[in-house]
Amino acid sequence: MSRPEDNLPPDLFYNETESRKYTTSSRIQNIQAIMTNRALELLGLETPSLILDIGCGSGLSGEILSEADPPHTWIGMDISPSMLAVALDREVDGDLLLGDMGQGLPFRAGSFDAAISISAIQWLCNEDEKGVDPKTRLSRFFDSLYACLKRDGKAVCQFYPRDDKQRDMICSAAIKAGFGAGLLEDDPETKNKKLYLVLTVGGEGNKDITGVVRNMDGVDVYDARKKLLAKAKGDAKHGTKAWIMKKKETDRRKGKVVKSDSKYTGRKRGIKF
Amino acid sequence: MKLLTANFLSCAVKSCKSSPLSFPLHFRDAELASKSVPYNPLLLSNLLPRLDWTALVTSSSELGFTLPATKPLLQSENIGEEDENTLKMLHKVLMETEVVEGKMVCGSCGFEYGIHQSVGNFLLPSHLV
Repeated sequence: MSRPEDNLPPDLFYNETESRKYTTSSRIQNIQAIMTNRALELLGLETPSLILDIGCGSGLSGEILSEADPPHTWIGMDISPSMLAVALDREVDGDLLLGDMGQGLPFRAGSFDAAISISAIQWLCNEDEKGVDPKTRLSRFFDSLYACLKRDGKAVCQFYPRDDKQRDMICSAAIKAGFGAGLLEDDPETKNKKLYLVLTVGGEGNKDITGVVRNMDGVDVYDARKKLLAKAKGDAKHGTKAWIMKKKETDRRKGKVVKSDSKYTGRKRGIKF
Repeated sequence: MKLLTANFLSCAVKSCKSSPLSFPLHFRDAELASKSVPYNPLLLSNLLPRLDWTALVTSSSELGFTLPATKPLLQSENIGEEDENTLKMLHKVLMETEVVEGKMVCGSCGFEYGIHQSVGNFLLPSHLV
């Protein structure tokens, strides 16, 4: 299947016809609704909140935010004027802005309770023009997103990475910006798999990202940090006998001249008078 | 653009990030409209601590109406009659007042963000990013 990201930049790809097609297709509406509801579930908002919708398009996801229980107020941002024109025609409740998320979000610190983004952030990885660096754009986006969310705030970004490399690039940019990050995968190993990047801004109740899915059914948690921790533990401590043996072993494999092991290897020397 | 949104927007130009003048953006040649929105007292009381009241007073005076100089505070957990009036006023100002056409200007660099059909244009030319 061809990816729209591979053809044109987003503001040109979503022209009038494409925007209308996107908004009226019942299949896309359905998928968007499922993803937005899932994102809302992950955000777990209990009171009416102010939400930023990044890449709001024609307001398909925004409509669900307005109709949710409790009803939320949202501000949407998109780069495609045609998409926003469709949103205006549909008279959505949220306020709309024309803007490029890769240029940074123009909001002051601590503005929003939460942010969602449905099928948008993979566009940041495009290199459409000369002098556009996806890494810079990603870090500008995540840095400004981190700043404009309030403490204890959360963001859920559903996205379609081209491959694992792109996925890791997006995740590491988010972690670099300071977010606690986790990936949730719905329907894994199928054609319909959906990736959600769940981000939390530090705070008391938000320290551990796995807490987001603690009360959800049918979610397996795979914690990559534990593996890292175990690996760090497995490494021999600097200066111990085990560490010396390991070092000698690697040098031997490299073909260097290494003194043979004996019972004195790595032993402390006695005090000399 | 609602006044609520305007209260959170600051200039996105790189050199303005550290300048205190980049917030709030100042309205010019604004054309107003009123749009009815469902009243949501809980959301408003949630938002109240986050609002920058001085900025709100500045933008509303630019649009030609006056607000009390100090931020109204809610009396208690339960919404009484006085609080109800405050919230109704806030609802009218923040949610129902919209700038349909006009410009927003940064106080620091003077960049003009156009507002057209109540959608603000925050795309920057690449040399300013």
